[in-house]
Amino acid sequence: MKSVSELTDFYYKELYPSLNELETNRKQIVSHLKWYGSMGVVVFIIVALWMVKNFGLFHPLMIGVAIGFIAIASIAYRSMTSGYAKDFKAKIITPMIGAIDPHLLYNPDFMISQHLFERSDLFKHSIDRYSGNDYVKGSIEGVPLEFSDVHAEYQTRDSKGRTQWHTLFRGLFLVAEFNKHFKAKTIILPDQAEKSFGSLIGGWLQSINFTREGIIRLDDPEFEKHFVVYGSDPIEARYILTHSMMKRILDFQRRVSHPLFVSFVHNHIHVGIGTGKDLFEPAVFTSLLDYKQAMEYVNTLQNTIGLVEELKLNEKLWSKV
Amino acid sequence: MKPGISDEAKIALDAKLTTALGAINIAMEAYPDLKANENVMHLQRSLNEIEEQISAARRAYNQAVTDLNNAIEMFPTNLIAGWMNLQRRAVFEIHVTERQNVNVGALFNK
Repeated sequence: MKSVSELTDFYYKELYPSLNELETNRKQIVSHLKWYGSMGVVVFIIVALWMVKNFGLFHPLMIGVAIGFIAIASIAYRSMTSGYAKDFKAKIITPMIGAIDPHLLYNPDFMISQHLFERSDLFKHSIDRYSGNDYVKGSIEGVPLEFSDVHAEYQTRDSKGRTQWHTLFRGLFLVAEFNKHFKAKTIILPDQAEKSFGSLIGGWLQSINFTREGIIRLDDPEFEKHFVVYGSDPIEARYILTHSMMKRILDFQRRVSHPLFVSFVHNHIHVGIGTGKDLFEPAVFTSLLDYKQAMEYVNTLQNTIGLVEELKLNEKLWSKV
Repeated sequence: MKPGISDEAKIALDAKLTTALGAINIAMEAYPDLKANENVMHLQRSLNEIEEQISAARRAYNQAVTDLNNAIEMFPTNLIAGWMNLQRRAVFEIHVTERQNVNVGALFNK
């Protein structure tokens, strides 16, 4: 396991040739985008002027033309940048994951299975559309783990019969083996009720949550402030969530600064980090050599894979071997 | 554990057990060779396991007792508690011997 500074070194030293190659590629794409973009705008203005002259400004055809232009522009943007994104993943992300640990497997198009995501029991809503990418699987210090980007959505129909898509979860989802045996479910969710309604009313609201099994109040006030814990077995929940474990989860929460969902089901720990965006996607308009950008890739990988050490999942002190 | 045993007796038993478990761990540290033995390693794992299980049960019990005690004292539940004649219960506490600081001087003078 490498530290952040070692990985940053690796990024700038070992990957420098591929970075340079990709960077010239990126500049080319950006200049193409600018050229086609300005041409598109000019064509659009000409068409629009012609239509205003013949049909008037608020003709329904006008909206159709505008939508058509936006669709063409987004398709063109996708097709022009997709090759670059693919190259970026093959030449930068793959060696970086290899540098963290050579036993990790990486697949940019695959994702964590929907079964595992649903098994975590973190999200009660049924899932209508499930997608993801950037799948990593392997073992760190003898602890099997897998993670990927996940985007889970559900759909609703409004009174006019139009379907709307809502995001249930978007971000990084990780599943790893836990170092203790347990039979019950323990689910840790971000504490929204207590934050917005105060501890008395919020606590009461949490306790009458019908979709969840019993609420478990833990003896760490700081932890209680950030999270709410549900579980079927209060003793087992405390067996898993020792004082040190609660502190480690809190520390992790402070570092990632995104909503954190953790559940302990079927002898595994499931962690969802609700970043709200697709990770490991290169931004075409920022330089690859930009320090901030590089640090984001490095930190995300390091944080996720480092979770095994951070939560001390590799510590085999208990009867589970 | 025998059924029908009183809460006070359970708390006393828990204190005894915790001291005994601690004593085993300390005694084992005096014999470094033991750590290489597989049976001893297994025993140590089991002891850790038991200790964490007991600690979890103790914390669950303490939380339940704290909730009960709070309800007995707080309005409006205290009225019902008074009417039902409910009493405050005792919680498990850390034993005095475990709370004492480690005497490093005595360790060196052994």
